[in-house]
Amino acid sequence: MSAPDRTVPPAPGPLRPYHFPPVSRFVLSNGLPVVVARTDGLPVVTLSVLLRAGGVQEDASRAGLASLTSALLESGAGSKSVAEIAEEVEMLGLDLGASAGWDVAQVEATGLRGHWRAATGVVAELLRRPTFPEGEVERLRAEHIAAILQRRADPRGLANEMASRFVFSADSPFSRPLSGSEATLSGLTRSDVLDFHAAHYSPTGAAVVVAGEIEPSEVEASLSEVLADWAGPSAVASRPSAEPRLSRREVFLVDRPGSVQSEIRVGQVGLPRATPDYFPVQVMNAILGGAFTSRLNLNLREERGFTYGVSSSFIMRREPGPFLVSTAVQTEVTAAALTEIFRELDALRTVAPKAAEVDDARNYLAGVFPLRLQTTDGVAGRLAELVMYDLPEDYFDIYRDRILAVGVDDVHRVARAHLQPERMAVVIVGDAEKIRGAVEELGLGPVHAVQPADLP
Amino acid sequence: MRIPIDQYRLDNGLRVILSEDHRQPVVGVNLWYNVGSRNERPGRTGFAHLFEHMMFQGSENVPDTEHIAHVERVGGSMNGSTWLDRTNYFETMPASRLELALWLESDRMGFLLPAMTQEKLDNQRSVVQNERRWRVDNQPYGDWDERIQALLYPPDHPYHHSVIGSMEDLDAATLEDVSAFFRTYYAPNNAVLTICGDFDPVAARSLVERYFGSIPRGPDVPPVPGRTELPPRLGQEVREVIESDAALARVYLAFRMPAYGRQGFFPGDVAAHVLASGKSSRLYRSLVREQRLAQSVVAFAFPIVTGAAMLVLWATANPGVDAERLERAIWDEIEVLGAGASPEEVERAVNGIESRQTVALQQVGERADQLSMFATLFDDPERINTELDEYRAVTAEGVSRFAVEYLRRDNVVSLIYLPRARSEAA
Repeated sequence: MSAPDRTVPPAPGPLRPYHFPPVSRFVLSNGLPVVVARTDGLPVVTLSVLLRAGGVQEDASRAGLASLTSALLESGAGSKSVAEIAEEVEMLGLDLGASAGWDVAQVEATGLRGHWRAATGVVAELLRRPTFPEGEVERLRAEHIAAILQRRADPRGLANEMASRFVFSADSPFSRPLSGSEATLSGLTRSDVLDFHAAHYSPTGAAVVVAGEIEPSEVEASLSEVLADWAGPSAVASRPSAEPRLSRREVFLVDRPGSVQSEIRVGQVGLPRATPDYFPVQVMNAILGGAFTSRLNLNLREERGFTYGVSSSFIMRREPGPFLVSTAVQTEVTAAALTEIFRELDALRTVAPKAAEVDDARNYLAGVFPLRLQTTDGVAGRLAELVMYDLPEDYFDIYRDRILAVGVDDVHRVARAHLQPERMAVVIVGDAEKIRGAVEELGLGPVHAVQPADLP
Repeated sequence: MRIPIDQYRLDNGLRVILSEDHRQPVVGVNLWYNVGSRNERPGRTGFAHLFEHMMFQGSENVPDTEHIAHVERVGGSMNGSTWLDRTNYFETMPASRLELALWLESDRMGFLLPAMTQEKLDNQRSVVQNERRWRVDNQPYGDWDERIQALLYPPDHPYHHSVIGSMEDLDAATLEDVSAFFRTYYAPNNAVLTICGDFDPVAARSLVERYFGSIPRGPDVPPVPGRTELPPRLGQEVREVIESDAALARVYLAFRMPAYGRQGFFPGDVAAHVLASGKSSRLYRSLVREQRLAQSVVAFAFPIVTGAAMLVLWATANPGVDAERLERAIWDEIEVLGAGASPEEVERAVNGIESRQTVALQQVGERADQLSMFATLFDDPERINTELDEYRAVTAEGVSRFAVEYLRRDNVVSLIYLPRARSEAA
């Protein structure tokens, strides 16, 4: 056996093609669309029902209602009590969850192939016949209020909440937490939950996605049995505001005395999922802060040791979601870290990236794409994107080609178009007394002192 | 479903496990080094983890930050982690880039030290200290495991200190420590290499020999320092009450229990599930749903092997609920469990364990990590296919007997976090 030449990285072996699992679509007799990806793996299936029952569907005065309603689906359904549902689900070994995002609410179950039919029965029962017992409504309402208290005491949770608040205008739902506030939750009643369920848990506007080692014909047969006679009102389109709060850069210093680190969020209103710039933005963000070897992380972590890690992301929804740079740095270097963050944001706008850097970022994104599709819930998540954002049928077949087609000019163009450092909100959760002076000296913009206890 | 296993050793002692799966064009490469925070010497807590960071700082043929860049630019993902008993390093790669991963891993196994500099050590020391601030010092309840370990294990036991270590010990680490640690523990005879996924077995064997075969065997690895054997129970209750910046009170109870793999561990793990895994579990039903004392409950058995493992459970109090009342309610449920578990709840717990394991094994990286684990801890990678039998053999009587023998007042560390009293001043 010859000794290897270790001085040069080995050449790639033969490339093996990746294909997204075969996708079938059909519609149940009540019009409910179903998308199935037949995966070839272990005997596992994920079933997910997406409903137009997310946070955008609730009134500001009832903020938290979408989350509360989804959480209550497991609290009793048909003739079953909350305890009976839990025992049944766990005897089947199902990982069952119901939750609400901004765009949709989702009931998702992952379990062994052998329990598929039982899983469809449980999920349909929860969706269609929840009983919302008064005691459970009270209990979960209190639990959600307590969760807000916990989030406010956690610097990361607090920083995320404040970032939404100061990125979006006050009349945008996205400025408030999806969980609601103590004030709005306290006012929610069982009848609010019943009304929200009746109006929004409907097959009209809903969709089902399934991924696993299962034939589409079997999916169609078993879903028809439990969901084909489900009826409900039409979905009402909701186009909430996603306007920015700021017209210039401002700093919000959220005091948390005694903090040994500052949690930093720097952000602005970003882009909707349907943006035509989706692929170049992914590449641009990978260069900026979307990979370990991104510019931000190499600078703040590997060069300066300011932080355990820093990242950037565009969160995309039907409406524009936030773009955020997120990190936690030791208190003493808070101002220096902000300088470096803005240096990197400016640099990506001012100078076109090098071809090799763009090439690396493209290859990274194209390569990791299939790594995240090894699991049924990973595949189901991609199917949900197809459905939620009306993406073309072949979207994930050509995903990697679209990424690999992004050029240097595209990256530079979208950095200039979609990063606006002069209008970003800067949120710092930390020991205000220790950092205020240095942050003011940066001259980023007006510095506002924020006492979280004073905010609703 | 059976995970295929082909295992052998190189002449230098490196244990190799190959497990084919051609369903997707990805391959997982995973290395377990049989060294963790338990091997650290006094005054150097946190060093095993700091050293893990240094393993990403380049090696003789891989410049500075290029290790990770090589993986990312071909579309792979990678990381490493340090725990009490071990340190692991892993990549999931497009199948065509297996050789690149083997080149990177072999270069740092065989040729790390030429790339080590004081500047890199100072930088990663700072990163790790920020990791500690982020995970522990700036996080409500962030120091729970550090406190529990210090109270549940005596000062001369290697689990007495936490993986992250103290700021002072991190400050004290030197470049000489890096060299000594590398020479002592980072040798092929102290490691397991697993390759899992889409590869050609003949080609893979040849590549492994090519990249790892010439790395010399290291000296015999010294035994784990300190007193590793422990009485099975603590022998007393140890309490600590902490005023903290958390919003809600929280009660932690930690018990010594048989080490992972020993008789008694599996009933203990099932007991943890019966108590607090899922909404049908005893503590969730009683404390969260019925009595409404707690916001959430958690319990788990640590799969650690040195002397004794620990079962840790915690409950976060609802606003206004007295921590002592919550603590009493937990003990009431433990007592009831000791009086008898039901076959149905044991079956639910084991079904959940089976289901979650099958879901996890969908990923080649997870499969590779478990194969490395079973080979390192038990010299038996086949356990990936047989461990579920151990859980299936657990009976309701076994679970209640475990509760009687281990979940008791003379075997508990009780850690109570109380929200700091609000200042009256405006």
